Amino acid sequence: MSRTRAIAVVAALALALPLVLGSPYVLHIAIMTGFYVILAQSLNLILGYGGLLSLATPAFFGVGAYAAAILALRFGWDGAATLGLAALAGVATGIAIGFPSLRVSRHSFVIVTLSATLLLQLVANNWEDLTRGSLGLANIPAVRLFGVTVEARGGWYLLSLAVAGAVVLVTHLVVGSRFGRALVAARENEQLALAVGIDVFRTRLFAFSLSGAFAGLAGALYAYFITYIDPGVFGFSVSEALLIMVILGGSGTLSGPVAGAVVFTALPELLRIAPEVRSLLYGVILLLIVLYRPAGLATWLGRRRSAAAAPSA
Amino acid sequence: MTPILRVEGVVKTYQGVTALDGITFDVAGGSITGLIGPNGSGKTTLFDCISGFQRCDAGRAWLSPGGPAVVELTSLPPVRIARAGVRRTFQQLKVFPNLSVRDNLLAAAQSGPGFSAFAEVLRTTPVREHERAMRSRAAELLAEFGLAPHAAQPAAALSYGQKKLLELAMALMTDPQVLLLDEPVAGVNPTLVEALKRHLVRVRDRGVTLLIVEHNLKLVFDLCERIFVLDGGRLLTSGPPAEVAHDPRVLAAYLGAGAKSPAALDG
Repeated sequence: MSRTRAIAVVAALALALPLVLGSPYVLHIAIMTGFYVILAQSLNLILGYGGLLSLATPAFFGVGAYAAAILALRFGWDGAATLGLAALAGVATGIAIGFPSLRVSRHSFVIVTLSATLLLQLVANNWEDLTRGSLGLANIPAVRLFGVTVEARGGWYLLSLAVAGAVVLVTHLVVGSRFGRALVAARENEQLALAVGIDVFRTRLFAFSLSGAFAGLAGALYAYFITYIDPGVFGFSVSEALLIMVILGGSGTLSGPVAGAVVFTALPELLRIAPEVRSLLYGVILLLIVLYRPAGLATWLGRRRSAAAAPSA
Repeated sequence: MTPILRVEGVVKTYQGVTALDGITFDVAGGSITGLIGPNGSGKTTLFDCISGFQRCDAGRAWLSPGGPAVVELTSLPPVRIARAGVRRTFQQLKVFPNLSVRDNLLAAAQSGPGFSAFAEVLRTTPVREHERAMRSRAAELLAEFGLAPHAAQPAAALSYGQKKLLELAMALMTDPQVLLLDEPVAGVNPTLVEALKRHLVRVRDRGVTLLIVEHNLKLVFDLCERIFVLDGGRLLTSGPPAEVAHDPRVLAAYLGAGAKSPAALDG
């Protein structure tokens, strides 16, 4: 089967299956999977292609979620513009965190990105006039896109799938461009990258901003879908879930984080059949994947990992 | 001679230890110039200062000094120096191991026109044209350096000698004015040393100026028109190979006081 045909079949199945099953529960999981695909690609840009362990994805996600919620609740905005503004808020957060963190060593980068995320969580907790602190923002109204109010789960599923597909497409275009090559080259050897004229800082800052846009958008969609957010959206557990999805899915590949998002959103739900040993089974499965598919689930998809995609040492 | 590179009074110290102590010299445009000296004499530190990887404490370096397009290298970061036309290789061989051999060459051509991020991602016509030109340039260099059969392989799969060739080819992707080569034949077998020598002469004949740090003194004496000798961070002497090879100070620096035979320098 040609690659294009395989992609078409997977896309058709993805589109049809939850709608055919029709269960609100399955649709809910499918919608959340779409959000996780967006978030996983956001992290993949930095971790997979850029080789930097970023813990800032929840910061972008949280800022996007709060931006959309505040615009909707305070200003009555509920249109596509709020999604765009949430993505822009993600870009601004990406630049604000990227500017100091991308100048320090790789180890310090991890700490700076984590600290920035925790700082934003503190702001969300304490700026009560704006965020209502730990009470969170509730009753976020439905989003209206081009005159259509997205309320039903079927509509949400199509929206989540469309945005996730668009994010994967944009990632594909970015990593296949000269910019993507520069990003991977900087991951492979920073000194050599500088010596051949790659502006490593600007390349990474652009990747960080784009990563911020993706996660900010996911945050806005999440806020509209769940209709409630609290400072937990900045939580470390978001990073934890995304790291599992990206690394065990196959970091630095396009399909790996998608596979990771699908498998690791669905798996905890499937394990509900054995509630007593659910966490134990989940851990064992993670261990088995690390042991037998260290390069990620993407290697099961029948394609050899591209040379550009291999993770840095 | 018209100098293409001028180094003037460059000083570099590390926590009180003087690595470079007021180095001054000119490199003639279109020449192959050698920079030799015993281990620890400051050769690589000087390369680092010229290419922006280290800031010197005093002194300056210029590209095209006296010309209308003079560039003060010591005030620029490495990326700007590379884009100004000064490329370098490293003492410890560096390639992008998980990129294909062809992509290594394409990644080395980043200093071309600066398109906007949107133009790059959307692959506008000028971006596509530039990419085509770079692919064709990469194909020429792959053929010239005998790497065409390995173009699609990851660079990590190449032999050490092939990686040395790739490193040189990468430095040539954007037709630099000056190439700083740090031990280009270190660890390479004698047959490949001869091949690399021929490549270096061809590169010089295209108008690229080469400044070479190398411990294989036979290669340096065979290839270079002028040699600068460093010792203890100072410029010990300079001159044509025949003169330098018989300079007792050079013999003493390499072999210790009392050494007499210039043949001993023939690595």
